[in-house]
Amino acid sequence: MAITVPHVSFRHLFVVIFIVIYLGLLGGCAGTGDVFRDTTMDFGSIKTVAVLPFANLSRDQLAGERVRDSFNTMLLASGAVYAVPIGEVARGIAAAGMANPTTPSADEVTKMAKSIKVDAVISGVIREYGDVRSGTSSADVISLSLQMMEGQTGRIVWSAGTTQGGIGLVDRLFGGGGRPLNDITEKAVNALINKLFE
Amino acid sequence: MLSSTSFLNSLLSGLIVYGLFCCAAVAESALPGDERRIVVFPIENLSGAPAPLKELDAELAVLLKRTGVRIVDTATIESFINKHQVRYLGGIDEHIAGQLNAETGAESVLITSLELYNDVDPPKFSLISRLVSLNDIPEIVWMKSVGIAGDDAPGILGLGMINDIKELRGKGLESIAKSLVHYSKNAPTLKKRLITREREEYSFRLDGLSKEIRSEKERLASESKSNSDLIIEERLSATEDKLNIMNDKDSLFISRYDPVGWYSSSGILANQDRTIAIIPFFNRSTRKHAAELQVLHLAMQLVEKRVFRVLELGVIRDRMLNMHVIMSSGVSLPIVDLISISLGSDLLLNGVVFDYLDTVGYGSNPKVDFSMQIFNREDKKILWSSHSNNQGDDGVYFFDSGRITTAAALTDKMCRAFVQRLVENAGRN
Repeated sequence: MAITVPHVSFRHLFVVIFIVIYLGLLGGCAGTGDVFRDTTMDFGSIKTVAVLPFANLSRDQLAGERVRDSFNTMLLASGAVYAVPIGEVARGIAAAGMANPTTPSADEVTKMAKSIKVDAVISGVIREYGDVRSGTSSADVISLSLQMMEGQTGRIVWSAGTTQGGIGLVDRLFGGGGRPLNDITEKAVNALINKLFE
Repeated sequence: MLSSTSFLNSLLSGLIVYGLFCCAAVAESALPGDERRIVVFPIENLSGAPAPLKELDAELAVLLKRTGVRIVDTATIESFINKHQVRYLGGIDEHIAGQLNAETGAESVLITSLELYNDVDPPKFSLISRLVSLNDIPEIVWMKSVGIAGDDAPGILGLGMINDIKELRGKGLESIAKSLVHYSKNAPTLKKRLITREREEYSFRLDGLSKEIRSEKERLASESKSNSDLIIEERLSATEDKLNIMNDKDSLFISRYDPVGWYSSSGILANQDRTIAIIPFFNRSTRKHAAELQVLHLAMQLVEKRVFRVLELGVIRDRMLNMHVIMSSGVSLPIVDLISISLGSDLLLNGVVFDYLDTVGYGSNPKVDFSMQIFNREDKKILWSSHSNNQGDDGVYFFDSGRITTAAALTDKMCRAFVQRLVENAGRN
């Protein structure tokens, strides 16, 4: 049996190529969402970071420390940067004379980075941590945002936020308490680390 | 009617027979060839609640004697404690260890901490014991913990339930005594391995100049057993240890207790000649003494698996008090230097306990959440960092099978999983 090959005209081929290029260019117009990245910054030069205590706006008093600890471990586990020990960060905070380590000024950041020899400093805010209710449903939610400041100048070079967990459509329809808080914390931390290295 | 003479004769013969029986029993209970004596310190209460400590002390002493452990009598220990004004009995420092060894002739001390004593139905009982050698620098040589609840194995129609705390604690203490006897009979000998300094010197020579290499080669060739042989032996031995840990019968279901996230540097070497000092953890939980308990459970797994040499916790505590080390939020690099140099330890372990929750009643669901970091003395870098978080009902789907009822048992599993991951990652460098 003879196989017939359909004739493809140059015009058809041109249309297909045009559509592919158009879609590719359209993808470039997509927004970065809740991520800010300084385009002039060489992120490859950051080898060591210090994670400052997170500002805690939730009801759980330990939320800041829990999330910071989890973030520190996952950041180390990524293998891309070395996060200095929390005790060393505390020493840097004392050396820089930071009045409020959750919201450091550019000067304080540079002073601290110099004293404990880090390339960048990360600070963050926990907006939500714990259970939320909606009608008869309840589920755990975490919402946090982080920012990275360059050690030499103290300027913000990266900032991102994420919200994980909460009450979804399935929870509303069928009940259930959502996923455990530690699971969504891990997910949120991983999402932020992905945003940092993407 | 029996005459008084015949009665006396029968009484006398009875006493002789009883005496012979006792002698035979004592001779049988003494461990063959084991002349070592053990000092048993009074039990330290870390349960955060009142407990019958004197009863537990007496019960433990009786059990140990019955199983053949030679212990120093209580009066001698009490007089020693009074004479030297020993206030802290949850550990032992070098000074006290030396004096204890000199005055009692004992070679080791048994330090026991009560973790949980709850007589509300179903009762719960947790205890952790460690045997510390009274050498120049005291070292933990054996550890065992027990965490049991009355409803651990209810069986059909609840026939396996234990409702009496005395029965439960008897069971727990007996398992501790049996394990100690087993250790005394089969005390493992530490394998001869290359010490850290020798290994570093060797690697330096390999990376050095060609002249030095040539001269070193000649020198090494003249030695009966070269360092390279020792390194090969060490690697083989480490692999053997790793295989032993991997073949652990409980390791099948241990993955559910793995840390949720961990970082492992390539610098870790699971090596018996590396000494680890466990710095007191920070307690952020609502449970009193949670940090001390967490440290004990971690030490137990490290000692049990023979991953590192574990320094006695009392020595570390004493050294930190003497050096006025105050840590507000974690270990800084100067503190790593200070502690590791003064203790002569290669590694430091520190962490935070966020949750250490035991619940009462039926269907209890303990919760444990902690994170830890291991620091290297040489470069003061983090070698290991992990965060663990589990509940008693993790991975339990049918008929409560596999449910863990005490935080002690849960922590043991989590720490065992941590050690397993540590050893696995140590072999990858």
